[in-house]
Amino acid sequence: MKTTGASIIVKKLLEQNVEYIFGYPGGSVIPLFDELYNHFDKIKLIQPRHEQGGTHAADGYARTTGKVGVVIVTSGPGATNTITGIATAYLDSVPLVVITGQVPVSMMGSDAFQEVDTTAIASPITKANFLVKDIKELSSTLDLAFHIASSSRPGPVLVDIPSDVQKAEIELSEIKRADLSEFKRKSNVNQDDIEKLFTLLKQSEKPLIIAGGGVIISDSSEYVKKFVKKNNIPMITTLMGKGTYPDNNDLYYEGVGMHGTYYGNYAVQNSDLIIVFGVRFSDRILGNVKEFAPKAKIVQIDIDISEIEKNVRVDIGIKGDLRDVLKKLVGYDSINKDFTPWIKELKRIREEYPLTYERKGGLKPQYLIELVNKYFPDDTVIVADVGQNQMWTAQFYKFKKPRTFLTTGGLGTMGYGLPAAIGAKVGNPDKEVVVITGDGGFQMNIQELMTIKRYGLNVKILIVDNAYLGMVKQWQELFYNKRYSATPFNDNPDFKKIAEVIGIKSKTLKKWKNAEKVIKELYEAKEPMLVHALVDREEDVFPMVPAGASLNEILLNKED
Amino acid sequence: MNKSKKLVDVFAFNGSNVLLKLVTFFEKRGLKIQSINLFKTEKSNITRFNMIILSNENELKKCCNQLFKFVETIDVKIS
Repeated sequence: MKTTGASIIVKKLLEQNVEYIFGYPGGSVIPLFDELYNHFDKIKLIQPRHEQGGTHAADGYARTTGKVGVVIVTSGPGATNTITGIATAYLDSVPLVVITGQVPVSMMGSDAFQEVDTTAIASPITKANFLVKDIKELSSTLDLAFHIASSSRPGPVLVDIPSDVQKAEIELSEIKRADLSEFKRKSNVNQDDIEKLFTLLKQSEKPLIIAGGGVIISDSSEYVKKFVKKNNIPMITTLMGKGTYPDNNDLYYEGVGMHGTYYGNYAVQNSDLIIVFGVRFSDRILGNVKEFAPKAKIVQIDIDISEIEKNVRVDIGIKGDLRDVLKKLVGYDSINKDFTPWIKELKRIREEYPLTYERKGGLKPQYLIELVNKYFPDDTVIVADVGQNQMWTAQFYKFKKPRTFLTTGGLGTMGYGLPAAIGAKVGNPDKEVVVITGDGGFQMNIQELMTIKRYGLNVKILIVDNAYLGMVKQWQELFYNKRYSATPFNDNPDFKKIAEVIGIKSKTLKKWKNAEKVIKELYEAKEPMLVHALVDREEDVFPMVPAGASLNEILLNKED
Repeated sequence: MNKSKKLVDVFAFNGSNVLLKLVTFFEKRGLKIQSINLFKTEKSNITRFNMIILSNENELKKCCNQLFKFVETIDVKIS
């Protein structure tokens, strides 16, 4: 009995329990979409208005559910349109399987219509990529793709499948399965390293934990919490680690780095021992690497050995799955050491230098985010776009649960927010999903409003419109003598009207006095709703560590 | 720091663009590959990439650790 390549792909999706695909058809995937047509009852199609939007949506789905996001697009422009989404997922370790159509094998290399060398283009931004030129390899390659995408440190995998391979037939008996054992890397935690960690901890007077995106990805938040509470150690998170620990207690000092808190950065610079879980130490965290954590010994724990000591000196590097390592750590008795003086010091610094903003003048975006925090429930998924809106969200929304904050920490992709919120809502139909975006980023994937409408997704949209590319403008203001080159957006359209035309409920918000009522209405709406908030144009994000400066050189306001 | 010729052997699963990945990996980090040879191994799906690279030992060791970010990488030996 024979089967086709397209049928093998669909069966593989079913075998992997794929419930949703984010796909857009085209010439090179017609055979695959034709096969999918028979299975849309089991594999539901979410069709974006642009392949980039579809890839971000699959990313949002994957980040919130922990499942693999699946994208299907055609060759050439279909594939290249996914590239920004794939790179976004790669930098933040998000599991995606991207299936791209390709021109027939016989035409490859002839510059055929809609032909590009997709795997070569995607090579630097994928965990692995495959070009399947023989139907015999199709099944095993897809097995591998799903395994690689979701195992160890997750990431996007691209599978390029020529249209004639999709149409080709094969005897069922000839279908091969992959030998996944070859790609399984062992995670043997070195017990000596664990002992050394506890020795350092017992010697320490000012320990600090930094939790990063790895904690969220490995679903280890509960263990981090247990370890922190058991040993009474203060902790902070990176941008990607938000949600690891409830954002309202004496042991949590919020963010670190360029737009972290003053007290979070103070903790890093004054700690004598930093234990780091799933953090890759990007330049946005480190500032001047030579002056980072000058008094501290550093213990870095990561599943990816290539991250250990990549950007910062490390005293102990432990390679291992965070869940395994943390299970071991919480299995130990409490070290019974009193860190109260250190915690009191941090509390005092937090009281002296709190996150704050002026509650006068034009409507402040921080206030709107506080209102979102006030009205929406704890498990709401908050999706931030990129720029000032992203940093204000990270600073002023109090995250209480893991996988509730989606943002592009590595690539910093403007236009991510709206489509990622679509994926988040598809994966979490019972949760509130709020996207907080700027006017610039919103317009980069504004077409996805149509996708929200088409599928009736109850996504709430808050646009904080300062008619600037705000973060770039902030740098121009502080470091380029206020020469606002190409950053003013004085010609923004009326987003309320755009939403209305599409059939999405919307409101414009200009005044402080109306803010609470409108945000409450946003929460209570039983359908998608957009709030276009015209905020104070000159509001900036503080604190701020200038690029390349030490974390000690933190600016608290424009006058600093 | 004194630089000298170092021999780097990377054992990797065959795959599209593995050679490209390795070459750009070292180039991006400012390490020049002076020669590169590819060898079959006893396993048909694994290739040995043998490179001569001008570098100091510490720099190269730190850099080669990052080769494990590639899913195809099985082992790296520096001599």
